[in-house]
Amino acid sequence: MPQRMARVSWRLLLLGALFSLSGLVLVGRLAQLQIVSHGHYAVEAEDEHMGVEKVLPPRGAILDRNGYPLALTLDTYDIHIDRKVWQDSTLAADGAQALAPVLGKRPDEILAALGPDSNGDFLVANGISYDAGQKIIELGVPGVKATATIQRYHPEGDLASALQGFVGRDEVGLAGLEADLQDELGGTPGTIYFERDSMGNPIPFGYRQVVKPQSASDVRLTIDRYIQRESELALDAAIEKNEAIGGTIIVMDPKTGAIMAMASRPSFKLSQLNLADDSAADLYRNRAVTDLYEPGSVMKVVTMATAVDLGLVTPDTTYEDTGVAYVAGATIRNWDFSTNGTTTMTQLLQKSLNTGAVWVVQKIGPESFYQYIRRFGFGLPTNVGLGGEASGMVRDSESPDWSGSDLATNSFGQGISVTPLQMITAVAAIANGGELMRPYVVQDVIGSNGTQTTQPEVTRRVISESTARTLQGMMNDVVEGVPSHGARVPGYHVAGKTGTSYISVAGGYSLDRVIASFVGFAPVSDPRMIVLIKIDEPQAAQLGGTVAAPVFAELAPKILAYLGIQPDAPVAVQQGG
Amino acid sequence: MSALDRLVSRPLPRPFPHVTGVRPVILGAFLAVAAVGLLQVAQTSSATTTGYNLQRLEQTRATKQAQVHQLEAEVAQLTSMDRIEKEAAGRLGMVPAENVISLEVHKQPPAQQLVPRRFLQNDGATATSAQPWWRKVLGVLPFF
Repeated sequence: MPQRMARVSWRLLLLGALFSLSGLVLVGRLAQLQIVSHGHYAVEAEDEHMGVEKVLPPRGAILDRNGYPLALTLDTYDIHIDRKVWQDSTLAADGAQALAPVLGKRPDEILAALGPDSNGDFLVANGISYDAGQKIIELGVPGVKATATIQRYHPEGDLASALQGFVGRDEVGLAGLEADLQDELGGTPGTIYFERDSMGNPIPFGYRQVVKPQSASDVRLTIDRYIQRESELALDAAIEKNEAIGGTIIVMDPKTGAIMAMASRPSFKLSQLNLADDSAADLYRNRAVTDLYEPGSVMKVVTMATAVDLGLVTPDTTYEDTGVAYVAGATIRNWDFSTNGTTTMTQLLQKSLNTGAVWVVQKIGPESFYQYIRRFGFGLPTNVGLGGEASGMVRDSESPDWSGSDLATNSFGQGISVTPLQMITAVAAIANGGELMRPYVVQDVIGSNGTQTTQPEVTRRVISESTARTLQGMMNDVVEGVPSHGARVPGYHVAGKTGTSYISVAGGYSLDRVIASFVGFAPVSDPRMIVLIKIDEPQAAQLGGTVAAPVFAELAPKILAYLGIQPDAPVAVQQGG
Repeated sequence: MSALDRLVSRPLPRPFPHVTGVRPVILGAFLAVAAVGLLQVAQTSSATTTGYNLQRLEQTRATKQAQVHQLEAEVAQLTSMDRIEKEAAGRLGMVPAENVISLEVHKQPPAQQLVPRRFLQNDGATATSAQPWWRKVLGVLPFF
């Protein structure tokens, strides 16, 4: 009997030990859950019970310089159908019947669109009006979800598409100013933390914390909708007339650097935007700041300005034009293969003589020439504030593959690549008395905390005021000294220079593909606007004077009249007829 | 000495001390607790109603804001250049000018009308305080 008792005692002891151990393990696990990993599980529990919703402030408007809206925000709804709920055919039929009149679709159309899938949400309508969305919410159709969203509305249609850009479905800017000014236009999103039930829906009167979104700002541009529209119409007409593949027009105030119009083709249409089409991605860039081209003879005014500023030549200085120049093994001829004999600097610009530009640049020398090229802003971004701006390509005498022939060709705008914006900014410095202005497109950012205004900014003085005046006169002689020059504007004194450049291809230049351009400003006595016109690969005609200059003659009087700039002639002037 | 085997008579309970004012205190405490409870219920009810009103007002505000945005878009559409051109050509029968005549006029043009006004910069004019004079006087005092 005592032996049996002893055996039982051992068993009990073992059992007791096992229970104690289990208890200890449980206590240990509890301690681990409740104390050691408390933070982790507390967060998980909170995530389970608390929902977070992002609240976007209404996106700011994009306005033209007079306050007319170019892009506005509309409150809209996206309507989704939960396919799982609509598996019930009776419920689906009733739901489709209820939704149909609000969505403007037939019930069978809605049901057919759902497809064979039985899971997931189906987007039945996107961007429907706020009132329609509210009606659908009030209908309370099972399985139908209305998600508040926004849509950009463009009252002026496709105006300045490439400049404005667009936003994605997440309301974040994807291209153009919408992307560049995302912080200003988008504001700072807020959040709502709320207690939610097992279905994820907010518990009425449960915990709710709201961090309000910071309101977005409206952005007023320097772009003028009228000038932009006229520029786009003129560009489209010129492209069609000359059977070109594209082009660019920029209109700028030379005194401030404010850009009044920036149009480029080919481009996309805001009204036909399809982000799913990858082939259209090439159309989204703003070619006025991203694309490079060789400016051709427009560069001769920069070469001439350099020589005048260095005191090497005056408008009346002459050289002997033999029709050909030999530089570092390269033979350079005039564009029309002409020989002009004794020629003044003004005549050089009027006749756009390549041999003359070579003669001038050889007097300047490579060091000074490239120094002035940089001062005019070539090879450097203009800091206009637009995304994707290119710096251009300038090979100077320090570059490893540079030769003397580069200096010669650079003097008349070949072998050097610039953006249209760089070119107009450089010539604007001549129109502005020698001061290079930083171009800009954003005039004001109008927020709830006040208005930030962009002030005109002088980048640097490029040439002296007297040199600028001399060049203005010479460029005026280019337009008015040539009989029937295509850029003449009745009633106004105009200054300008044409350019025709070959397009570089692998191993040289394509002689049947050119870029025709013209840069001009008016009135010469007090320049108020400067216009760059660039037409890519025109087929019907090829010279800048034939293709681009007439576009200036058509566009400039409209802009000058619109800006209220009096004609230079003191008496009544009649045009057209 | 032998113990008597008999029941010991149970002592009579002592009468409740008749202290003046105890019952009213209990009654008062009971009423106070009830009042606090009622107050709590009333507060909760009021908070619930206020919360509901707040949500309703937020919804109204969102609707009004959406309507404002819609109206702004309509105004913008009505002032768009395409619409102006259509109205000019269609309704008013205007055509592009064939002859442009510029005349020198010795008078300043009227100030440009910028629309819509919502988008205009604040001209710096600030709203004057609508406080009555006596409130301003009170505001000077340190305890107000």
